[in-house]
Amino acid sequence: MNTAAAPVPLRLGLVGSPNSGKTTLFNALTGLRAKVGNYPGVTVERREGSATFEGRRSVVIDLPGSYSLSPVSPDEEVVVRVLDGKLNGAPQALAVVADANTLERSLLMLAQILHREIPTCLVLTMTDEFRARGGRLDIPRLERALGIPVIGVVGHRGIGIAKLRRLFAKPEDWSRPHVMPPEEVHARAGWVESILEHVLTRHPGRSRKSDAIDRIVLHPVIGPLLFAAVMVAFFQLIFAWAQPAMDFIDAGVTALGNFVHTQLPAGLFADFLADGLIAGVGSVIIFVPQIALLFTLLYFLQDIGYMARAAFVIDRVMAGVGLEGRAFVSLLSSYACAVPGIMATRTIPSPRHRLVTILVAPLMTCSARLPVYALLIGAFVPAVSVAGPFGLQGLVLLALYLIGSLTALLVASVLTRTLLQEDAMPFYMELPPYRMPTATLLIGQVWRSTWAFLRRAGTIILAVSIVLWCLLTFPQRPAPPDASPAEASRYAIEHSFAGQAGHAIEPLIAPLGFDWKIGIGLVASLAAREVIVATLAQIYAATDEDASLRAAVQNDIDPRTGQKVFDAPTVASLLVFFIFALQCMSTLAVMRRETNSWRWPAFAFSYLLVLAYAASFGAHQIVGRLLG
Amino acid sequence: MALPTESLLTESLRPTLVCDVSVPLSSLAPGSRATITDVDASTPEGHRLLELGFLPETEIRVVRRAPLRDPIAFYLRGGQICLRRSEAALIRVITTDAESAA
Repeated sequence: MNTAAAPVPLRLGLVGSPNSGKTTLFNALTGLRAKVGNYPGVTVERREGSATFEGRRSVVIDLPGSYSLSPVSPDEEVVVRVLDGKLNGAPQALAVVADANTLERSLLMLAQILHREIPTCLVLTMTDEFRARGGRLDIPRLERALGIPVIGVVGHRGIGIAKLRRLFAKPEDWSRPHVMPPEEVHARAGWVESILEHVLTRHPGRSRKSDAIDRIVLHPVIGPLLFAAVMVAFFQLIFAWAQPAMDFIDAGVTALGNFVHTQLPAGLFADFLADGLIAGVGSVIIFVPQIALLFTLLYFLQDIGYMARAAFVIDRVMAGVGLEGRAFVSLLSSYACAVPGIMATRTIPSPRHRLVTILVAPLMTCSARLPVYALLIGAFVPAVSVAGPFGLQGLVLLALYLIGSLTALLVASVLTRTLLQEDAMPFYMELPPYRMPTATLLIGQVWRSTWAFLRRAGTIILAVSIVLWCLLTFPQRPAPPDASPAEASRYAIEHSFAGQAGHAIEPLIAPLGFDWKIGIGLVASLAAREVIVATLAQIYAATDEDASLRAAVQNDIDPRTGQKVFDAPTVASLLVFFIFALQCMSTLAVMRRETNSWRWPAFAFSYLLVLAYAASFGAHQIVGRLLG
Repeated sequence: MALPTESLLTESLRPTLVCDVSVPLSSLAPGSRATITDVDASTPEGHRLLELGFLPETEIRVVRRAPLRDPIAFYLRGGQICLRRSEAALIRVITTDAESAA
């Protein structure tokens, strides 16, 4: 390709602190065509978008939010490495994005950036809010004092963007500072002070509107009540609003599978298409409603300014187990599903807190455990009343939720005290003024996060689904000729690789009270917990998953002992196993994506398996003794 | 170039600086106004606080404590920021008004 005809696009980096309006500006410049990925080796999100400035093709790089070039957080480390040219694609020009209301702090970092000797300009955002709060700033004077171009914008209204585009077309022509600012932090502060003294003719007052809202939202009594109400609503909405869409997708995938079965000649290809590929794709897109909804609510609460307040209110409680306020939201979301819960940990700046939250999120009782709990509790726990309206079945379910949640907090507390000890990251959080996010900003953020899930985790989930289908299908042995379709299906699964695995692990799981049939169910449920229900239905050749499967498990007799397979100790043991074990490839795939290595998903899977085994063994023994 | 220390110390502050002793920022009651005198930069956390703008001679206001009394929200350099009490204890300040006695 001729480089003269298609010149290499200019790389323009946006640098600024979190909440500086960088993302709004990035969207205004690039639209929604951003590439999202991770920087190599770290979990920091990398975003690039193409833009054309006065006919000049450019790549705008949205560098992670950063308060300083003396890096502490992984985000800041990435910024420094990008500016040093140590990560591919160093920017040829920089725009420092600064909230006009907190200009003083931004200039502290600008002083460090000017030393990089990359053409730099300063973009002042939220100038409308700055004026409304009574601030007055002499921009031409600031330009002269800094020696670089300065432009004021209102990103979400598009004010000043045209001027910015003209400026970005020719970074070669930008003026450079005549004198370099000092580098040492105290001297830098003096430099900032002396500049602002001349250009900031009136300091902006505190945002009265925000102060008034904070008096209610952070009130010692109302604050925690509001926090509880918002969190319950948040959880309810993720659960309730996503359910119809998920049911719809589920029904659609099933219908499509059935359609394939009816249209294609029966055989391996139809089976693969319907039960392997379509079901596999279905198991990925089933998460989309929950993830899109979670991110919509999460980004809305974050952009409006409430998320920081919520973290402020609950931080003391989370500090008790070595975590911080922002981890709460993530753990709460994990009650619906650990996949969006783990994705929500991105709001946690400390890598250690984030990792611990990711590692304990699978212990929160997610909705995929409910079908398993429903089958076992429905079949084996008598529907008797314990006290008034409280039935025994409901109390057992509540106990399962509680054991999971308390274990999550306990494990977090152990991990932060042992394996993942303190890093030098103070709990530092900005409480930004309340601001109404624009719909385009919100849609852009939700779209990018959902797409990132589909691309990164989705491909792994699909691949594993297909592998599991193969394990449950091959090798193929012809069933006895007189077998009914249900019996043939049972015969096929018993002789598949998964069936052989179920038999093979029987000695290992016998101490937990599980036989080979539960073994196959456990192997199959590595895909997703609820799959064990469908697999058991297939093994018991049950015609439906409700009444006849319930009856089949209730009446199953072990031919060797003449005892029931599902006796009370075994049921207790199986329920306990499902509290702890990480049988969910989607969670593992998303952990892999969020931590950028297989090391942490492997660790989580192993520790939860050990925990599940030990606890199940304990439950089997204890219930056995109590009843024996 | 202007000397940073000279430009920061306003006339009204000077007498207070002379006669008062510094206290940890964590000990101030909400509503107090103070000026930072020193930050314990011997720990990485302390050094980090300097980079975040908690520098000597900066004016700071205690906005409120969280409902469970920790963390604490401060107003400085045009923005509201919260720190845990243990971190605020690394910052020494002198109060610049009488409200802190409350």
